[in-house]
Amino acid sequence: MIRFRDVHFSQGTQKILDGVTFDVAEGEVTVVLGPSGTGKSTLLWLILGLWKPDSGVIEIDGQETRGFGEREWKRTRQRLSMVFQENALFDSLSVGENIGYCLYRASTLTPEEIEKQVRQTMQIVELDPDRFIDRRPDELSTGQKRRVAIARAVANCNPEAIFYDEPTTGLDPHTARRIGDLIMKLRDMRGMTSIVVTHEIADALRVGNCFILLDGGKIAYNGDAAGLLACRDAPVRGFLEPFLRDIEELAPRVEAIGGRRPPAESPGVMAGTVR
Amino acid sequence: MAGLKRGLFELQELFFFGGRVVRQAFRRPFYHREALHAMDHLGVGSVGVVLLAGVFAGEALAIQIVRQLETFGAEALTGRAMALGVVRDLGPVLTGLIVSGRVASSIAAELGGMVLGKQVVAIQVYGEDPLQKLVVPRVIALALMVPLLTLLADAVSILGGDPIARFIGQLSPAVYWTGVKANLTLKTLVIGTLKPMVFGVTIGVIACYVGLRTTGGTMGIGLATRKAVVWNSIAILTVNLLITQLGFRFLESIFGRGD
Repeated sequence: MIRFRDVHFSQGTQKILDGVTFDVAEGEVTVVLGPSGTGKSTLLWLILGLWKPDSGVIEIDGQETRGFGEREWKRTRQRLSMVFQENALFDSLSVGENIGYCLYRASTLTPEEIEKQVRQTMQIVELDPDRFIDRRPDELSTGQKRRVAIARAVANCNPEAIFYDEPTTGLDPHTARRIGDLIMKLRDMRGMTSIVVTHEIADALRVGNCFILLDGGKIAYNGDAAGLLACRDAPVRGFLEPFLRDIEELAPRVEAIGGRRPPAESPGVMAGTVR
Repeated sequence: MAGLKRGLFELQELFFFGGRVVRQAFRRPFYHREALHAMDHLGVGSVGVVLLAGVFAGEALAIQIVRQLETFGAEALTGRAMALGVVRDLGPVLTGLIVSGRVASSIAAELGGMVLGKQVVAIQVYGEDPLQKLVVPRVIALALMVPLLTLLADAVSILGGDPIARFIGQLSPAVYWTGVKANLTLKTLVIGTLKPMVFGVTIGVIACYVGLRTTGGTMGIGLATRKAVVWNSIAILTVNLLITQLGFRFLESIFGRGD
């Protein structure tokens, strides 16, 4: 669905991406790993057309984005959605209005239908609609804000792909786990293509099918979880080193699933659907 | 030299930004709700401070005029001088500076916060144009509200001149108000309304431009706020001079010479 071919990108004199090539398969969760400042989030901004690459080709559904005008980008962005590291919730709107932001603007649904859809989406992300729908973002905890951000991204006129920028950063381990479960749940429920940008290896191994490790703007690894853990390349080992204890705990699980898609942990919370 | 080059580049970017805002103002979609909210928040919210400043500035100006005219025995012209000075210059500039101080800083801080919180990018990702959604409604609101606020400031300033003319200039109210009416010509009113409209656009464009370019965390917001007020104050005084000079020539070609 999304394809990068020899993409280069710089900001000023600083080279951010240096000949990056990879594919993001449809319906899979691709995790982009790497230390801070290696250009992980840049990939998302390039896919969404917020920045333009210096050279190289980015394709979305076989269409090259290089020649896209603002109208094509608007149309393309309607099929994609993003959860920001900062959540980017609109302070002046309630939780319900934030989640239904795109529906209020773009859909032909009545306000009652939109509210119904918003409530269903809130149930998916495990937020009690009666308690939270009228609250303002500043009345929520960090984890609750993250779930509202995910709900807004999901409610965005049924996107085909969703991008998560550091979805578990700054969260306590319990909440981070629940957000991880949520990402897997959305993948399983709606077959949504996902890209998760993170530097939290434990969370990455739980949610991902494919792994890309960026190092100094280049791809140091591209493959599955088992291959990543077995890889002896210096940049890969250098990145994994601080997380070895976490990895030791996760390794049997990765081995058990043969490096393939891990199952969603909490099937019980999968009640309710947006569609 | 590098500073001058950077300043000129920034000015050029500001003009391009202003051009885009004006162009987008005539394109769909129109964000009526946002514009009405901005009119209330930015315009109606400034009424109190504008009225207060208008009264005191009007009285101070009246004292100066009466004192100067007294020396020539021409106190009777106080009303004329007040109408001209307040409607053409004092009212628009005073209102422009007050609104700029109150509103430009607030817009720059609000948009700066939105930029840093990635809300502006989110608007873009969700298929909207931040310029059209965030900037155009604010600029339209200010272009409409600053002239209205100026009219209020003009009214209370001239009203404030009445007791000064009466008690310090020993003028009868009839003489003061006849002078005021005599100088409230169509030309004066056109200048007195056009100026604040241009100030409104200037305040909105500069504040939004600075706000949307905020970088560097909370310190950046502080810097953007300061920049918005300083740039606007300079811009209002410069634009006032330009309109006074060029506007006079243009209006003279329509209404002929004279007050």
